[in-house]
Amino acid sequence: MNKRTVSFRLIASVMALALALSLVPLYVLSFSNHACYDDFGFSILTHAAWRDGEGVLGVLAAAVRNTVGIRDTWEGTYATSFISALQPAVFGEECYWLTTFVLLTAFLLGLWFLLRQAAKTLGADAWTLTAVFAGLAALCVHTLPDPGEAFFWFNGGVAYTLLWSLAALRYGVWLAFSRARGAKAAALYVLLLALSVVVGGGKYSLLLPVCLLDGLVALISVARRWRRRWAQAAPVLISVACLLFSASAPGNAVRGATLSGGLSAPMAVLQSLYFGGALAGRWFSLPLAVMWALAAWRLWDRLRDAPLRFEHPLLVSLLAFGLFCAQLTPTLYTGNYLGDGRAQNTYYFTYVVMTTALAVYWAGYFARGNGAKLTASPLRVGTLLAAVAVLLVGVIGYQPEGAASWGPQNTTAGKAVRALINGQAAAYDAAMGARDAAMNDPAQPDVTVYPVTDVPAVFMGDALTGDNVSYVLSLYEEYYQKNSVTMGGDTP
Amino acid sequence: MLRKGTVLGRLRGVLLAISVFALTIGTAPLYAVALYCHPYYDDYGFSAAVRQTWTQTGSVAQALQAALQSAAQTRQTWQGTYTGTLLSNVQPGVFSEGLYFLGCWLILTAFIGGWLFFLLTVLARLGLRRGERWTLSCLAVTVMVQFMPDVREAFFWFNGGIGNVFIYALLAIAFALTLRLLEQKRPWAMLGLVPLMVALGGGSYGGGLFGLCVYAVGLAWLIWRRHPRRWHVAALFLLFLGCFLYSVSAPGNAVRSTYLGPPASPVVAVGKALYYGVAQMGTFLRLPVIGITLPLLPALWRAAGESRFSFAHPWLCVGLLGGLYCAQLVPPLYAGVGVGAGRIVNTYFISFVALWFLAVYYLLGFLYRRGLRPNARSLGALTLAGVCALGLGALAVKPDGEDLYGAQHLSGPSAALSLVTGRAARYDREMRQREALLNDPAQDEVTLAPLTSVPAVFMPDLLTDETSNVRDMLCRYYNKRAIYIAGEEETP
Repeated sequence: MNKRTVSFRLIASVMALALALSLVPLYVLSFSNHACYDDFGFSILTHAAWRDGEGVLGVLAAAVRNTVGIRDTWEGTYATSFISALQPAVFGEECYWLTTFVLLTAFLLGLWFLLRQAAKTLGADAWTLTAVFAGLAALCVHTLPDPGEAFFWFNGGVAYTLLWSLAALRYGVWLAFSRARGAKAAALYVLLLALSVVVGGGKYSLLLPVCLLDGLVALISVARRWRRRWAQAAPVLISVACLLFSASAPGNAVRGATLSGGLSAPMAVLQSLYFGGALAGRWFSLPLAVMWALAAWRLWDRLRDAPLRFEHPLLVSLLAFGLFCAQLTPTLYTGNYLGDGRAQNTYYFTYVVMTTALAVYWAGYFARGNGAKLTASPLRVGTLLAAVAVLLVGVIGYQPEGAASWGPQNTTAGKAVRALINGQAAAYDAAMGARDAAMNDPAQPDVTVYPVTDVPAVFMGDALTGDNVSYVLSLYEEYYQKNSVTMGGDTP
Repeated sequence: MLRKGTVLGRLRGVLLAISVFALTIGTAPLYAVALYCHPYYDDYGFSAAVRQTWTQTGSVAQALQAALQSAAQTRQTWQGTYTGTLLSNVQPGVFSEGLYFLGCWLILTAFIGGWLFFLLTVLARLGLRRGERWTLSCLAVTVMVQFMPDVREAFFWFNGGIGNVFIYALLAIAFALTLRLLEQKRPWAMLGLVPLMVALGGGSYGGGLFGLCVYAVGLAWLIWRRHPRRWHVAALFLLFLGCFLYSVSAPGNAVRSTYLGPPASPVVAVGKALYYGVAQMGTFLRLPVIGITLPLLPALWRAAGESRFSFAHPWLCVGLLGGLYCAQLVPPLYAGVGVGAGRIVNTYFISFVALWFLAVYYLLGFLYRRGLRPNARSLGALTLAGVCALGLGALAVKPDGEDLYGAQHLSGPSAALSLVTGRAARYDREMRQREALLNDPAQDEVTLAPLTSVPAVFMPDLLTDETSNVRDMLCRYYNKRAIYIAGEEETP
């Protein structure tokens, strides 16, 4: 039998390196990306302010006007409306690559900060944090339902991915605040309140579970007489107040009139539980199971001696499932079924993080009833190879819905690499660049645009190939202040 | 140790009752809906000559003679898989469309019976107690039936099912009989095994290669251990191999390959089989399979612990099982049809479930020998986890092209829904109207109406599919000059 062992530091380092390398194609690909659809619609005012030389302050003022206007005419989610107005192409189409840099980097930072604070709370070492972060981040970035709407489209990504990242950051700050003392605690508290206001202006699919989780934390802190339990009530109240403020926006009624197929509230809740279960079953994967095992194994000894008792695994699992399902309620309630890809991305992020947390909780439950120490034992090569084999089977068997075949080429990195290598990204960039040039040419008051069909799989695609062409053309006219923008037939 | 009357003992009894109930209640709608099933596509193509003979002579003997002639001709012109070809010629619809359900019942019963027989035989030899092996067998067959990748092509299309799922049922019976042969004082099992080897040699190429590889590995082990029955098994293996080579050498295979394009090189086919085999395993190793495994872990663990095997070579064992699994994929990949159609993917799924439990058993034995002992108290937790996994797995089912997730897409519930909503009855009514027209000798040309309803477990209506040649088949089968679709005859 092979009793050779391997250092966990090496494993964590390899995982971190693999994550870093896998992200490079995404960042590189972002330089070929261009603004799309609602990017224009949400930033007409800010674009006009920038073009008219009003400077950054003028743009910010326009973003505020835009937010107020959208609150009255479309939706109350003020944080997403405000940030969407600042999409990078406002300052020049060549800046749109910042979209991926902002969204992806913010996501990684938000996830990392949350995990770091959780690791500190549980007493985990830095290598465990590195490995768990690398694994979960890789899963979230490379196997999410819709990478285009998560990281390559500012409007969609800000409303969902960015706000989810900020919510993760907020819970990380909350954990840090609960441990901190003195001035640091005060600073963290201010940051926590500020983040509560920002997250409170997010989409309802995020805000509803945030409010529920906040309420749960507040109840437990009061019942258990936690330190600073009354200070912890403030972020809860802010979240609820922001939800009410956002929900009371006149624009929501306007938008609601354009939607059909909404459900009653009880039916929406019931269907959330049903479809939440469906998504939970759908998204189980072997790589995720490996991550559960890794986190549980690395934390086993700490959990055994932790002050937390982990005595209600079933109740905690049910509550976690309820919170997961709560994300689905708003879209089901408004008749939008499970939401678009960008909404499902955030459900997926929650699923990955929440199930790993549950795996750790269950490990804590079993560790406290079992005297054996596991983490301290060195990892045998055979065990590592077995985990790698399971991981490989999961990666090779990865076939997202609609994919023709199985394999790592279906991951976000795989798609990005393919688009870069086969020249698809460069061709798309050239075609869209030509359109941008025509749009920005003041000598052309009337522009004819041609649809671009050869689009990298992780990009949003050309809105002119969709079913709402006249609206897109009107957006172009308004955004670029053209007399007319018409669509030509075949690409010239 | 557990004793009768304890809570855990009762839990085992409940598990057994649930598993038997699930198998029974889950397959009952399939038997019921089969009463509404009608012949489809190649059913007509393969059995046209036999039907002509039957309608002209009314003699079963002459019909069988025509079937033999037709099968011999197919060997020259299309393929050498004589078992499937011969049986396809005598599909029950030949004698009357009203008897077509007998074919569905035959395949379904052979499948359930064959795999129950195999699992019960194997598990008894692995040391599981009677209740445990019935529980595991019923759960495994339930998952095979309910989560079948393409239930339509498995049970409700005679031509597709008889050449694949039915052949695998025969394979399961052959394996089980061979195990019994090894223990018999007098080799009575040979009486059943000889015709089975002949039938399997003319079955599907994937199943044939898989079976031969299994027999080759088993034979090598028997020779190494100098088992007294080794020469009996060697004779069976040679018979199987001879029939398989006879099937492979059919001139029709070359004719068929001209339609499919040039075959891949054997080396490439084997490499692809390994890759796609692993991919298939990754696809199939989801919550339903894990869900039925969890409650049975203690039983498998105990049985492995009491076994006389040393379980010293986990990598070799799992690698061998994986290699055997991948062997099935070589023929379709070699022939250039990818991993194969739904009816072939069904056979991969079936064999995966069967091999999975063997791999789990071996790995548990390995862990047992390393000092990891099962905790009897864990049965309750594992059962609960298994039920949750199975439930989530059932909710997560969403066939391609469907919008909704849910357990209604499982084979049994889907069939039950067709019965309850009247969809099956409507399909039956419309097909009977068609068949009445087609069977009317007074009408040389007939006009058929497209079907308005097809149960999800039945094959779709190909009549309106312009790419299919089903109308030519129907003309030959029913001896018609022309067949029109309603509205079409008026078109100039």
